[in-house]
Amino acid sequence: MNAVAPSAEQGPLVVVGEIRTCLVQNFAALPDNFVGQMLKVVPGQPVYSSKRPVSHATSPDRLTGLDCALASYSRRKAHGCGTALSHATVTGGRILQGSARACLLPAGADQRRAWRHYLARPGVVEITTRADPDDLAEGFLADHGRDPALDLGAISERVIDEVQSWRRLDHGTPLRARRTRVLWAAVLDSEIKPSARITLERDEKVRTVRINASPGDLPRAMRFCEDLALHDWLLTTVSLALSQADRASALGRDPVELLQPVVDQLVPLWTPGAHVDPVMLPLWTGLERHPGFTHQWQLLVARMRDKIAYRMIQLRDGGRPWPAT
Amino acid sequence: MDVVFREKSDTPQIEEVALSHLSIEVGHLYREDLEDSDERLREQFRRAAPWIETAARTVKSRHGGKARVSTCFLVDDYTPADSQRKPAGPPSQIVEMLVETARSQGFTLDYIVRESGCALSADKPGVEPSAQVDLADIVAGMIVAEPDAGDNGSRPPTADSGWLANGKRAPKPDESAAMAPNPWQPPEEYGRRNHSIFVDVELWAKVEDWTSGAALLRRDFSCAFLAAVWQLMRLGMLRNEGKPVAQPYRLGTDPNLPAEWPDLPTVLQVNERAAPFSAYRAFSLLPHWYLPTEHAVRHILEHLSLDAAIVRQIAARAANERITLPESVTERLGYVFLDEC
Repeated sequence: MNAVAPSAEQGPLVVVGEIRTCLVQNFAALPDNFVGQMLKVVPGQPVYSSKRPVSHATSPDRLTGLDCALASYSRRKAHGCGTALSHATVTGGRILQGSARACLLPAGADQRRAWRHYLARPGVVEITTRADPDDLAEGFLADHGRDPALDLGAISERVIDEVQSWRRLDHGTPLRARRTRVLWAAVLDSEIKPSARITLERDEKVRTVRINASPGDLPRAMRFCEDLALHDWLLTTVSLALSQADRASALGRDPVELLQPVVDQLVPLWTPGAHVDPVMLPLWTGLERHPGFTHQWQLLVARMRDKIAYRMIQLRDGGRPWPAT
Repeated sequence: MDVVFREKSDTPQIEEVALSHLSIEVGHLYREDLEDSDERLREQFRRAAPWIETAARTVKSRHGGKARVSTCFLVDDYTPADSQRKPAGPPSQIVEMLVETARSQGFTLDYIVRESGCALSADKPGVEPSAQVDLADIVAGMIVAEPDAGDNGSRPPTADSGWLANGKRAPKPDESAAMAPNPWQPPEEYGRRNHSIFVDVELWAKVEDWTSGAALLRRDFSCAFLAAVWQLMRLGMLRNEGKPVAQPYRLGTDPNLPAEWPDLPTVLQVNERAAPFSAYRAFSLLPHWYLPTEHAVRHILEHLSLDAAIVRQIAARAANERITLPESVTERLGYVFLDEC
């Protein structure tokens, strides 16, 4: 991975990122070899993959040039120049994520430098103005990528669009799902106590994650946020499927055809923390305590299975219409 | 009991390539120029010879008598499918002419490289095009366009147009506003000091290819773009999923070369005892009309995001050999542009 490994003497630094999560536009889940081909977004660069407990593949990183305003919580003027890194991941041949990030570092100069200077520091945006790490981190999370500040969401979207345009996808959708957004900001400091704060924003598609960690934990923190985004998307998608099923049965339609693909294709993908480094596992443990991610998931899955089972009993008993409850 | 579960991804490691201290490009000519008469080649080699000696001596005085120096020659044979280039003579004839002419001018030629191999590369003779490595595609994938002021990631980059600029292009005059037409505005170099030197380089042209019976969009690469691939090849900076590319093919004592240019390997080693083809630094002796091309090459190289693992690997090896290496690849390139006398 091309992630920047900042040195300790630079003091606290900020890494910001945005992850967008959606369904691979294909009727069936993709086999691993297809995923490997689909994620070849940079010629000559390998796709990283692992198979257990569910298959997970990450495309090589790509760079995007930036010279723009940076959001600050105190609304102080901030500006940066450099590059963002972005990649796509596919989990279980079914869930696609676009993930973009940039490390915000103080620049040595107040003017833009030759482009090769920035290309030698992939994923670093140099801040040409004075800025406080906390102010930038909170500013990024509060801003939701509003114009004209840094828009990592647009970069994540582009990676997703490129992967979805792979010619062998059939663009079928076995179930309905929304794209969700996770914005994250990490303040990295060797003196800092590791912690995380996760917020469901008013816009129900947006979550924000604020992490404090030591500089060496950056790649792990990013991976944690991608894992969190994936599981949050699973919860959101299954909740959506259940409410659609409720509406279908209220109208006297069979809810099983809505629930079956969810049970078949999404339920096996719930493996929180499986692709997360042990250093970050306490964060997952915290989430399991409150709000209890896996507990929520189990309740939703049980409701789906109950609905399917009930429908099976009905069909056995002569296929009476679904009662409008 | 602690249990550690690890899964090895099939991700390859970055393999090393052999490196000389210096690679000297002794010339670069069109394939056709080599067929009519050898006079042009003799002249190029006559002018280049003293510089080759000086460059080799400088490297050896700095790094000792065992310092590794290799020489190479680039034959421009890049022929997009539908272009009207006259048919070429057999490669064996041109290889022999290059080797002999170098010898007559007092130096040994180590490697002969074909420029079309900078687009599609092969390590052996007779490799099917579908099995060749798309080097130009790999390098095109490294381009990161320089952002304009205000670029915040929301606009897609413009590199796909096939052109690469070092600044903001001049806006089109607004001719529809008849009463108050916008006056001409100049282009502007990014990060300029007082005045601009604006460069806009054509990397490729997109053309419709009907050779397979249906229209496929194909990229015909510019000489400057392929020359950028060539310089990266000489600096050992290219890999395909971690594997070396365009590795030299030893001609041996019994040359049995293919009769057609496209069947040649990219890099042909014509001297058994040659030092490695790729090197920490590359030096080129070129006719003066290559100056704009090389300016474009440097411009392209300064807009590439090179594989960080390869950059680190070469820097570490240089440090091991006590060689100081500039961070930027363009600073590892040196030139002499030869005049006509």
